[in-house]
Amino acid sequence: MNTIDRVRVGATVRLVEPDPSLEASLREHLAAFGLLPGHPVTVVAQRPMTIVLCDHVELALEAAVAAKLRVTTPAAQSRPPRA
Amino acid sequence: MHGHILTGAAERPEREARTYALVGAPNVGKSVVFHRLTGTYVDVSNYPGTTVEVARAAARFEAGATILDTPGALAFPSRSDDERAALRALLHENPAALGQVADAKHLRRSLAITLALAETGRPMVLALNMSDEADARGVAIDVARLSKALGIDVVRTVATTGEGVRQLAHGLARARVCVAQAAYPQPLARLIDAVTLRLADRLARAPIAHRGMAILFLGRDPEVEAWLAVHVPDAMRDLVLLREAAERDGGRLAPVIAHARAEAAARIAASALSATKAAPTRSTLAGRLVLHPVWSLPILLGVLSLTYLFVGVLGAGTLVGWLEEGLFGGTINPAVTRFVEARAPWPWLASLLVGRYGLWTMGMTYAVALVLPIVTTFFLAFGFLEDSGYFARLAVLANRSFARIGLNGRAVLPMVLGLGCVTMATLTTRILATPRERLIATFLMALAIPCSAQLGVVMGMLGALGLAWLLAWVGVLVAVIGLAGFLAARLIPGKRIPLVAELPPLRWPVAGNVLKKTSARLYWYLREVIPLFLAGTFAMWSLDASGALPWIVARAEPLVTGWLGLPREAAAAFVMGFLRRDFGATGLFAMGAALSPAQALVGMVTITLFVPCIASVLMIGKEQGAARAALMVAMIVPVAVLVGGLVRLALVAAGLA
Repeated sequence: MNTIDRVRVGATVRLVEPDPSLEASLREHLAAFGLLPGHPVTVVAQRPMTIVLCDHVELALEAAVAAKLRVTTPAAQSRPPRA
Repeated sequence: MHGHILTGAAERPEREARTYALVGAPNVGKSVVFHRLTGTYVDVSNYPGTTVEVARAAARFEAGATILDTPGALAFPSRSDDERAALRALLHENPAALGQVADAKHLRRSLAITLALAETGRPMVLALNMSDEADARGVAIDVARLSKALGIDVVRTVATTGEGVRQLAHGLARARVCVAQAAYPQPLARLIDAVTLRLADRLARAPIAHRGMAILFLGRDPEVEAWLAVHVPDAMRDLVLLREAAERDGGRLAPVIAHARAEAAARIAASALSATKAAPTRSTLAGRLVLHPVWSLPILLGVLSLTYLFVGVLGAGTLVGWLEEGLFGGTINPAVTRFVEARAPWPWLASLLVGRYGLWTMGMTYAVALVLPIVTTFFLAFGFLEDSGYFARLAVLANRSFARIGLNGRAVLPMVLGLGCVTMATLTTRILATPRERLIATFLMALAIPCSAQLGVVMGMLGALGLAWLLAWVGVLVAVIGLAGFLAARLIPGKRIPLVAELPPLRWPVAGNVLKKTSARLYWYLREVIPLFLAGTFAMWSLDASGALPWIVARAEPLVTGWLGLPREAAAAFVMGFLRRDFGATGLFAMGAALSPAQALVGMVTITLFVPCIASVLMIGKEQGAARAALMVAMIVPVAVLVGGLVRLALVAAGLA
């Protein structure tokens, strides 16, 4: 399963359930921001951190969170993991 | 006194004592709407979470009515302090109606909050704020259809220009209960019914409808839990057992509640939203440029340079020079001195008013001629950057560095505000998510963040010696913050919270809003600072007149002349530093040519790290408790002297002292 920190900038992906190791409080925080399974988001930047566009609002996600936010994405839209 | 109990079905209170509560997510413009509805200013900014307490003021549109501005709430059941404060307002303030201020760009998320508020049973009206920004992004909302689906008034607003605010006021006065409801899955729905019945049996009247209360209780809302523990203590055991049984089977219920609301919100949003186009606006592109891997640094340096030119050169240089040397030094103070000396019946009175430590010549002159121009320019610059949306992006840029000191990028706001006034910034640490982050940020600010009055003095003194000395001072402070933060992050128990933040649109601030914000902050500052300056001056005068000052200076001399390598007279500046750090810095500044460049650096580093001003210590005591405030002071003084001496040793080793 791909995670959002590995998605190429410009790609639109669909969220799935976050990694179970992501703390419950953070999962609830993401849900409150509208980042829910099944919803599409567009990645607009990966540096200095992952920034996604969710319903016309940009959200910044620190690497520790982005690495646990799983998405469904075609292989062509993912990028190699950071060195 | 507000009445605080309504029937479970949310009965309207009598017309003459109405209270309306503004509720909504952070950074959607609630405080600007509040200002428009009341004419009263509260701390408003384009940065999430700056309303840290519930503000209240009389409504302009209805005689006798009160408007409450609640802190930003992303979701209910409440999780953060802000959300808890918002829910407390709903539980204890008996609002006749709720005005939900929502981000029109993010209808789906906004409607999830609408559905949560609908469950309270309170009449409400929905303001789709920032509608201009939604238009610019091609977000078209069918307001009539949405209003019909929800059964309440829905108003398009642009709070910064006042568009739609009159309709919102009108809507509040005739608000209706929202008919849209989230459909909860089984077995949660059955559990909600069971708890609702139990509450209805025991509570004839409740501030939130019984069903809403049941849902919040099942989602473990701490405020509702506390309210129920007081009002239905006998039922609590039974209710808790019901909830625990459900949680054993399916885990925490809050995510299930959030999911059901989100699904219902998405359906309603889809029915009211027409096709959207995704052409990035100029604001979007500018916002991305500010975070660009290459361009972010030159932009940051540009912002810092412009801020320095405005605050450091114009405020601390030109305006202070004009006021302190010209107006006060050349005209007002000589005239006041002549007047007082000619009329004072006793010499000590003349000395108290216009002497070396005179209430006028020192206290008022410092407050008005030295501090006022610096804080005015600082708060103007800060307000501009805050409203522009730049700070939210600075939080992203600073996040990695802040992670090393146990904080996340969100702490950038209090830290930068601390450069204006550490006391005010200590209060603003409430926007940080955990007590641990608040403690670390408060400690670092008390230790090493110079306030604007002090910055002005330091820039004046070290800037005159050359940029290298100024940069050396900055370097020492950054190193101290880095080391102290590194240690604090490891010694203070608890976990760091990763940054997940909304980036508000980058926009050109509305001048009127920046001016209102600045004047409100200046009023707060002057109300706090002038009495303290006068009290500090009086304390200095008393120490001097009683002969205690020379005695203290003599006791401090070995440390000051030996370890720090400063002239004997500098000890008096450190005594002043106990009253206010900038008093101390100004005392050193007044020594001027008596200090070598190396001594000036050592003196400024020591006085910057020295105890924060009395007002800050009092604020730390209020926010963190007296014991922690005392512990911080006890740690900070030796650290300041230690670092000052180490800087001197380094300068000696480098052949510069």
